[in-house]
Amino acid sequence: MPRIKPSTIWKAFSLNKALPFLLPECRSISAAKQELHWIENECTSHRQVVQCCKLRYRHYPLQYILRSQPFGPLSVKCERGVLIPRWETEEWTMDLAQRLPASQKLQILDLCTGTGCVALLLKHLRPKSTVHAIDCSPLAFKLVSLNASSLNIDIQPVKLDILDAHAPNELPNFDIITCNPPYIPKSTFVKETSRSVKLFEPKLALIGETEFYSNLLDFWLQKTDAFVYEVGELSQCTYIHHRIAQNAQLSDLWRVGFKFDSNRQARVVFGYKRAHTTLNWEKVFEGFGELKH
Amino acid sequence: MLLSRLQTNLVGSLRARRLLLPKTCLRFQTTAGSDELHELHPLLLERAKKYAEELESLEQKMAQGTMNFDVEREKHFSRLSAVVDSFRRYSSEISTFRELQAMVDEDPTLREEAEQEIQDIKPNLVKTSSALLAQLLPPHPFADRPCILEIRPGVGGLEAMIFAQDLLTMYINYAQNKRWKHHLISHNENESGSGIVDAILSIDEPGAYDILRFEAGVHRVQRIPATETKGRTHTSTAAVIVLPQMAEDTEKEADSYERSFKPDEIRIDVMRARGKGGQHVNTTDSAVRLTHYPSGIVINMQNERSQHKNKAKAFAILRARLAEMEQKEKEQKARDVRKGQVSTIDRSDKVRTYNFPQNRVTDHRCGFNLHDMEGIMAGERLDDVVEAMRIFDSDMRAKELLKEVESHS
Repeated sequence: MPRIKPSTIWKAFSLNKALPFLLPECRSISAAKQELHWIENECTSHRQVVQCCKLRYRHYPLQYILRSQPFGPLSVKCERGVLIPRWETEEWTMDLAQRLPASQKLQILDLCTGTGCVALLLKHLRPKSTVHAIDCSPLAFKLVSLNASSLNIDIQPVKLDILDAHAPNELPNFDIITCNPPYIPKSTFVKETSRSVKLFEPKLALIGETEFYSNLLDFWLQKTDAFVYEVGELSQCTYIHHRIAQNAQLSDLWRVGFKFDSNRQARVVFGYKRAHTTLNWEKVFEGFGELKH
Repeated sequence: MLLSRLQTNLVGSLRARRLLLPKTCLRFQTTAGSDELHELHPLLLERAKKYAEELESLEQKMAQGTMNFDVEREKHFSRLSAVVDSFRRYSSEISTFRELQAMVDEDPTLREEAEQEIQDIKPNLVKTSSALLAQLLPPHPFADRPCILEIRPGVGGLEAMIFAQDLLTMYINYAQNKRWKHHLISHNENESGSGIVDAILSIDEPGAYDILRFEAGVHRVQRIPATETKGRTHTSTAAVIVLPQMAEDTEKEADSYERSFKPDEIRIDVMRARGKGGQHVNTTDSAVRLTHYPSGIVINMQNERSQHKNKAKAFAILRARLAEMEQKEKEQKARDVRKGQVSTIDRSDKVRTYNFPQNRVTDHRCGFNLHDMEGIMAGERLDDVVEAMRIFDSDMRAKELLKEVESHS
């Protein structure tokens, strides 16, 4: 990343004394001004603004400073220790929610829910469905309940470790499972994540390789008709694809597809049962992504 | 700027003293000949009479109570009764006026009194006749819409940006004076924060489009800029675009509107590149760029923290621009049919000059002058200009209409 020129810092300083603090994260004066504007909207005093900017100088995430992040039409509360919702997640969730039929009472399960953003948005846009939200972190569980009550959206938060082999047994069957699991391999974590993420976001929600995808194949496929999992790279998509293709039983039953985000990165792997389902999933997922299997 | 204004005031007053014409020193009077009386053309009056007949028959039908309630008809009815109302007022006033004129011609003993009376009722009559004229002409298809104002600096660098900001403040003040609900959709300052790169103001009052649509065009300013060190007068411009608001910019509307496009017609870009994205970074950048291929419209929106809201706003603007484009095309076609007999107001691009040294605002389309820069920029006297433009427009359209009627008959 190119360094920030001293002249830029001086220029920022002459515009607003707090502005240079935002430059390391924002990189340009116009972006810094935009962010300062957002901070000023939330803060009551000038001192508070400067304090926020100083935190930002240390790469502290803006979403933790302002304690919220917009997610579709909702504003979701964010707190330290829980992953901040990303725009990529927002994008595919909005797309998915609008594809689901509004008239049917769907059973939806959101795993690794974090702030509960995916579950809340799905329930908000499809109020007739029932949405369960599972996370193993007590902080996340608390935050989901808080978000659900403050946004007045009725979802069922559950505190459960889904990697525990017995976990799925206690739950009923679902129409669709969504999940944004930790997907950054430990080996690339230091190199590929931004400083703000590395320093301040929970590693529990970030570091993972294929354990959640194999967990999906081993346990959750039996309990659902369709799944939508976020991924970090194409290899995670192909992992699911290959394992389903190689298993004779699953291969007949399931279709698998990949979805790319508007930044042209592999972002979602999804699948649905070919037959014997309450919903015509083929129609729902038509045009959602590229079908591979 | 303050200094320059002081100077011009000083110079002005000195000159005035020299010429011993104190009246011209501070002219707050308008110079347009708005109090000249044009009697309405008989063809137009015939039209009004037809309306009156239609109203009568409609009233009779309604009195019988055989018809069910129908919103469209009720609207039509209220419009008719408004037209007929002003028609009756106009005919009674014009007949008094004629009687008085006859008196002036025939009876020398009463001449003075009659002339006095004519002077008294004339402004009223002018008002009624222009109101009636405006009502008789077909209303603009988007007349009852709220509007969106887009303001961009034109030539003139930093000074143009400052002037664009001044214009924006003027419209905000205007809306405030009228107690209209308004909000800024997008507001991008230049780097030093003294002016704007672009701004979009939404005025949510129904009917605001009809009032403000004549503001569209290039506004020219002549003044000594704050950035000028040698005291020279500069000329800069800013462009104002006025769009009808087709729907409320709520998210639901935007969503359904978004789905009305084919996927290959529009493209939504989020301004992000490099890296793996997803959990690897937590960016706060929420800028959205919307491209509409068939029309070539590109809209950037970045003011909200929520990408979703930015997108909704971008779609609201796209919708307004497309609607306006369609309307312009229709008008153009209608004009082509008439083989361009008339000059129209929307084709001239430079619409108005703000001359600060002379304390003067001139509208080039209708030749209206107003000598109160402060009042204009504070949005208090913008109404005068708007009103003059509206009268001018209805005159033009009446002429067009008459020509059309005459050519048919």
